[in-house]
Amino acid sequence: MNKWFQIDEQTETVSGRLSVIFLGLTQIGLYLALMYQRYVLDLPPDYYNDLAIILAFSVLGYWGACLFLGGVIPTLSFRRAIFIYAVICMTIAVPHTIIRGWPAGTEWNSRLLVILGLPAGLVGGYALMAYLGKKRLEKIISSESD
Amino acid sequence: MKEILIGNKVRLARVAKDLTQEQLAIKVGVTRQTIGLIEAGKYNPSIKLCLLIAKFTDTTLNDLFWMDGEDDE
Repeated sequence: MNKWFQIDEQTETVSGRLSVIFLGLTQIGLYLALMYQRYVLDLPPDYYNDLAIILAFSVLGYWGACLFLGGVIPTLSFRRAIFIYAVICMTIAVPHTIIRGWPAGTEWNSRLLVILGLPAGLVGGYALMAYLGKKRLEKIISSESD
Repeated sequence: MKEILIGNKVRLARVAKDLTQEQLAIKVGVTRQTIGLIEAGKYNPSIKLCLLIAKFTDTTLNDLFWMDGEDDE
């Protein structure tokens, strides 16, 4: 073991906890910066697209990996997935319509993409990762018990 | 949620074997600080580390670790 840079289970535990905290703070900071540029400064998407990509990669990558490797997050039944999808759609659609008004004819496609596509990606991604994670753990458990 | 406190005799077992924290740490493959934290009851080691400590101090898990009591807070 390298004496100058020793990592053991205790330091891994501490660094793991700190990593989660600082990753969360970083993601919140990126989100706030994104919202500030989007809604306060009213900048066009070219100015904050890079932040949005980094944030999406970080959030989806982290939670996706957690769901897959953890395998203990509840998998969704079809009915529950539809219900959660509808709730998220409404949660996005109502404030969106109040803030930006009823979409003009040319805006319908982009508006529907945000209101219907984003929740579909979230719920579908969650369901897929939870299902794959559960399958992965069940496979490990069954191979151990054989 | 009930908090289970783990008591341990790692310090006594180590001293009985005439080992320093550093020597025991090297034998079980962790840092001296980790052994210090275990002895102070500030860190709950993995079962693998518990077994290694028991092995190198010629004791058993029952000798080294026990549940100290339960705290409802």
